Amino acid sequence: MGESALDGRDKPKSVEDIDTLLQEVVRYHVFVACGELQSDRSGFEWNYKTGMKPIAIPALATPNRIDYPPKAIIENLSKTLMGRTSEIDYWKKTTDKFSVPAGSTVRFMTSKEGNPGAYDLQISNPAIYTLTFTVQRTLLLNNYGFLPTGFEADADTIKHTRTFNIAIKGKFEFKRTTGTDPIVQEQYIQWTDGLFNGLGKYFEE
Amino acid sequence: MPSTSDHSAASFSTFIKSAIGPVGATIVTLWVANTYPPENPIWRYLAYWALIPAVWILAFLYWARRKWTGFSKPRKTASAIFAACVIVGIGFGSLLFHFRPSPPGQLVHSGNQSTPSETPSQPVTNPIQLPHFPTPDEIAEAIKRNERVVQTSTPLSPLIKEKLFSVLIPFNDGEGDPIPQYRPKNEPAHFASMALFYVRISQWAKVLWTDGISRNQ
Repeated sequence: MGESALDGRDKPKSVEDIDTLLQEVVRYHVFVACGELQSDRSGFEWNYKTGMKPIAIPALATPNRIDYPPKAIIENLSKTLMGRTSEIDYWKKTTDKFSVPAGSTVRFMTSKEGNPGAYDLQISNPAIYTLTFTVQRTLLLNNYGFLPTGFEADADTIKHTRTFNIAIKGKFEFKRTTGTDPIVQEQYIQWTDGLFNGLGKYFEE
Repeated sequence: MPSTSDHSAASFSTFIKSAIGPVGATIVTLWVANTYPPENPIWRYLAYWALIPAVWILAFLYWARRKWTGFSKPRKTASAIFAACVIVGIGFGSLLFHFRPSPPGQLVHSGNQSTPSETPSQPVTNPIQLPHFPTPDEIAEAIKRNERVVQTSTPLSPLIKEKLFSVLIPFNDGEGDPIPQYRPKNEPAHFASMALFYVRISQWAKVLWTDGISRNQ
């Protein structure tokens, strides 16, 4: 049976292309998750024992909170692979806010600017702090034929599926001096702990 | 030999002198009661537990000295009582000086807590204050102050926190969807679900590579 015009190029095939896609997507999800953690959220949870129930989670307290300008977010995203998706339209139309401490900048850094071979998301105010999430694929084995827990596929799909392990390293650095205000320091620590714990639940539960 | 009138005059004089102490103590007590409540709690405390008892003790000692002197008690005893009066007076005077009100801005110790002393124009009903929680404006001001301080004060080693997460993403490079279907048994609903995360990867993989966008990256 002959291949269609799209066959062979309707998805990335090479490891480099898959790496590019997955690391960009995971970095973008870290960004989205950080935004959601700093907003009031409501939803529901369910399991087979207790069924469905509503939940409401208050926003994580951002020190000296401001809303990052949507234009700056769009400008940043436009420089990444995600800039070619409908996410740009989402950020143009949405009323959702991405909160940061006042004076901060958000950067989606390439491997040339940040860590070599990695995709960095950096939220920082150089005078006070730098929070960097580095996304990088770890060692890849030729592990065709296995699926992680929770995934389902037919036997033929499983044969062509291999699992990529994407690591996200969060690093927070707070500049201290002899005159650092302990209140401010504590605010930033709580904010960082909240983000790290929230992302941990998101990616690992 | 003194006459009867001379003796009466001497007795009256002794009586007047011996009454000075109790009268003075009564005047002080009435004055404190009249001016209650005083503006400063430390004075309220001293008035009730030091000043009034002190003046009454002093008054008693003074009265006792006059009485015993007047009835020709041994001079040694009278001198001892007088010395006791002086010592007790100096002691209470020192106590009053030690517990005098602090100027506004200094700390007054109250039990195990330290509270700012109050100005005379602001009566205090509860000298122990609740812990102060910073307002957003105070935090903003503290951050600005911190930025200025960073540039002017001595740097210390930075505070660093690190955490590592990881996520497994199966990717199908054959026929069908790039990401196999994800059906967790117990989906945590903290916010956007992982199921949605995987669906979006599938969608974006198709869109981006169908358009050949990756080749332009």
